[in-house]
Amino acid sequence: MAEATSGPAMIDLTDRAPDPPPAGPWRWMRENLFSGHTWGQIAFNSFLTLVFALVLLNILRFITSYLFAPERKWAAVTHNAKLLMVQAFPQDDLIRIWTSLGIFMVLVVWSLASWKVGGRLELPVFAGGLRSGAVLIGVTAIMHHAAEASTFGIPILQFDSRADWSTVRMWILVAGGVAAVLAHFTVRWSRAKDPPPTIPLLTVPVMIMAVVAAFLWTVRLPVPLGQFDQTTAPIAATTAGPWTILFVLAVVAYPLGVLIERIWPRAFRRLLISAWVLSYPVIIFVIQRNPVLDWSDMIMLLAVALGAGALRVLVHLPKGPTATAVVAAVGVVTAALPFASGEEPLWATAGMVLVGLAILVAALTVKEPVEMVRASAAGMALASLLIWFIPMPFLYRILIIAFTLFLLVTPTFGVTQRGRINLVRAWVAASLLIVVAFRLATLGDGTTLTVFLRSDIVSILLAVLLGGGALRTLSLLPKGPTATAVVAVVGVVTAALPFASGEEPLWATAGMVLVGLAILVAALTVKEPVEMVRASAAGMALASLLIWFIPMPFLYRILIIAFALFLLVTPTFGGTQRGRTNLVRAWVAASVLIVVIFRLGAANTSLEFQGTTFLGGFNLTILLAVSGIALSLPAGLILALARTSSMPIFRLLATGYIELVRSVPMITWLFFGSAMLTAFLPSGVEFDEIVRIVAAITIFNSAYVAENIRGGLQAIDKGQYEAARAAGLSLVQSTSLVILPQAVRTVIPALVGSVIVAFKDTSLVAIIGLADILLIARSFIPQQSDPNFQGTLPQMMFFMALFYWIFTFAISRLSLRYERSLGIGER
Amino acid sequence: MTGNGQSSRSPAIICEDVKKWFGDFQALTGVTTSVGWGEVVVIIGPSGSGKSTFIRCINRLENHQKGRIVVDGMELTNDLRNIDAIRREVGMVFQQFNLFPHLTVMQNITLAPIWVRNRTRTDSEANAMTLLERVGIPEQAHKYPGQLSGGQQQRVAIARALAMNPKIMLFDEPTSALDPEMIKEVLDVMKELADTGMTMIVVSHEMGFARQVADRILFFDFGTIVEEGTPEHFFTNPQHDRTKLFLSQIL
Repeated sequence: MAEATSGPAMIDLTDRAPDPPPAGPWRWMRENLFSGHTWGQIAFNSFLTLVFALVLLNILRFITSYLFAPERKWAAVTHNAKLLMVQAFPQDDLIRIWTSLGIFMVLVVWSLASWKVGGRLELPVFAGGLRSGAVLIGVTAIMHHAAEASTFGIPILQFDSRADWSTVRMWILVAGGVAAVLAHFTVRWSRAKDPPPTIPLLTVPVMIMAVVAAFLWTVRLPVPLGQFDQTTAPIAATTAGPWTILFVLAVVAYPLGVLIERIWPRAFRRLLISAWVLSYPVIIFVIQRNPVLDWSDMIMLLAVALGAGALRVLVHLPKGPTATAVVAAVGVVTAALPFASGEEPLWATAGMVLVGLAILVAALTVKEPVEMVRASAAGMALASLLIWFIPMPFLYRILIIAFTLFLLVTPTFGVTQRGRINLVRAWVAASLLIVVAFRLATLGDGTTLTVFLRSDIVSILLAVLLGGGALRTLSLLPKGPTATAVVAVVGVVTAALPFASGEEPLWATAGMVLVGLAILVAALTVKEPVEMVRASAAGMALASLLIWFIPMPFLYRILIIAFALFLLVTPTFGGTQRGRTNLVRAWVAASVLIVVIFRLGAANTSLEFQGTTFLGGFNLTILLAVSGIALSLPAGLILALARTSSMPIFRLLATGYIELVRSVPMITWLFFGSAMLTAFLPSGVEFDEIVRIVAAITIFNSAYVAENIRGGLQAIDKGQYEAARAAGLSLVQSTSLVILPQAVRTVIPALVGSVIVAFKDTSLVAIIGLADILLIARSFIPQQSDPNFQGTLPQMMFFMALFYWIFTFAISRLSLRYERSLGIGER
Repeated sequence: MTGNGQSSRSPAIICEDVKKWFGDFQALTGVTTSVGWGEVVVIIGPSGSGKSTFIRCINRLENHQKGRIVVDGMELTNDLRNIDAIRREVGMVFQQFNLFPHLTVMQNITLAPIWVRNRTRTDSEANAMTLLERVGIPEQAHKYPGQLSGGQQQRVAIARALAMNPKIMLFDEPTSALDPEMIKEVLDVMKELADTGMTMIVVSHEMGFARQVADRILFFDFGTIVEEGTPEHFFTNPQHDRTKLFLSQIL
């Protein structure tokens, strides 16, 4: 009152908006359920509320009664879990599935650790949620009980109750009640504190995993033995062990990830990103399928990579115990690795690990990196002496000794940064040389050096390296005839290389060399490097057209075309030194990827399985969804950029592709992938059906993703692009740093829509005979010969609805979170 | 101030008979001029006279179709390397600020130095703080552009352009989108910049600024320079009828 009379001239700075009236359940109910200004309104609204509450209550009761009725036979879900998950994957090879899950789990946990996902949750919120959940469970159990008595005179469901169920319900009631009371007191206790105590958000999944593990080991459900014979057994008896191991792995991996993240945040992230990218082909093609691979080669490559990685890390780390630990740890692994093939006795492996640990201890006790490296080297030298008394392939000995030698010379030659980098390069080169030399020496069996050199792996490697080398040289050389000549010569060699296998007629080789020479002449007559690259690109494009009329392996054609494409985009994207270096990297990566897809995507596998493919059930659904989404997002991005590009050829191609793909139903594309794609590919090229279906899904989804992103690109003001360009950013940098982040953010809701549709559309593969989880649930289980599961279609469909809902709901919540985290700049 | 310090080199910008068409409309009908190092040139003229098009040709946001433009000794051709090299040396400030809304002020300023000049993040951030102090808003470093006023945004845009250590600065109507009370804060920053000897080309309607800071004024109409001279000559003794008409309308 005093402020009001003091007049408008006085502004009271202590004035605040009035506090809102305290929120509470009673107020909420009054405002939302029994609202109104007059008694008539209140009476009417209360009547509506009561009627709808009654209806809702009965619907809920109907659902719970349905779910918990004894004849529901939920055992159809739990006891067909393996079928739902992997379909006909061989029992003996299930370890492959668990390994895949383990890799996935560790990657997820490490990503959470590295990107510091989660944050903290206020304890009252958490306990409140727990309380609501417990009460809901309890109410559900009671409701079912009441349903038998059909209250309110409305007959609901009549069914026979069994002693089994009443016991279970009692336990549910007791557990729910105890949990609710505990949670309630936690809420009251923690609310009183200011600020309220918090728990890490990640404790929630850990608790869920603990509860699931406890259920797997303790809860016993009736297991159908025959038509009228039932016994009780722990649910998922065979999977309890592996799941528990996976949970423990996740829990252990998290602090480890946090630790690594603290030590090398950037390197860890880069490692994780490459691991995610690599995990995809590795899990599908190497782990889940039986690849026709020489595992000793893989182990060797791993050893080389690890050794190189250790030295590389050493190069960049400052001296100190961290560097010591890294080198020592990798020393242990590298030493033990050759024994992992299982052919050597266990004591040998154990001995090597012990030696490695001794090195670790020795290394950790010294201060200076020089001494540390000397210490590990001494330990390794000792180890390499010891291994002479252990039976093992000679190659392993040589590699271990090479690693030792390199460690020994590091203190001498690795004083400067450049010297250390060179040492790493030398180590990698030497290791590869040793491996290649050994392979050559042990070819035997009538195979000769010529055959080895002519084998396609070697010529592909050469072609990739030469192509990459040409681009690399171009990126380093100043403009002028020298650069021209280098590119042209390598163009000739790359063009002629695929013909060197000797299977093609001589005139083909000669023709390619002539085409290359024509490129050379054309290139030499132009002055500017941009024109020169355009000229070679045109020549290469011509060559890649010509080669369609010449018999040669399909892979060679693809590689030549890839090289021509890279030459074509060089003038556009290679404006800056960084851009050109990235182009070279992209070229090598793309070439390796092409080769890997062709090698590993081949249809043959020695794994014995029933059905059409080695994948089925949940495994197949997830694989199709993840690959379809993961591949169509970048593909769509490229298509969108191409469609909005200033180069007419890209615009035309992208528009044509999108219009064609969108005008044909997805099922047609699936049939195309399943039945027709092989006909389009040249003879001799055969992809696994899974790869073909993934291709079809990607073809279809990428068109939709592209149109979504194009919408975002069009919403960006032209000034953004101009500002980026005016600041000196190249075309690629402007696009990736300024335009795309803004464009993608505006279309996240649309993209999430596409992702959810793509996820659900994977169920369409049932039409072409692939057994995804929905087909198994709706057809295989209800129709199988076991009478216990016959006619369980409603249960299976209910479970499938839950399954799809959990995933799509998770996707939409995640995207909402992501949107919020990006929304800061919009204010 | 003209040509001081760097007089041994060729002029900062040489334009010879620059012509440019948008479809059938000729936006530039032959512009010939040169700008010396350290010179501040203000371009005025009615809207549609080609001022903005001309200034945008200098860092090739628009490409001219006839004539020659040489910036810092490099001729603007279709060669991407020349264009990138020139853009590294020429900073530009836009009428609509064009800050990147998804990045903080600090990230806006450090983006180009990190990605184009390959500077370390620490160095660029230290440099960005110095620049923000120079334009008077160091406390806004970690806000997003959307949280700043127009005048503050334009000052950030100037800091962003300066972060690349440009030799030449282009201003395309930097104060036209601002409220009157914010114009002064931006003009003050520009004056201070002119005092440091930066080569500047400013398209502006701020006659006070032109009179006070410019070494030379170019009056544009119909896509060409109608009249040019020192501010004194220009405002007190214009020769051309078109100039007189224009000045009488706005003064």
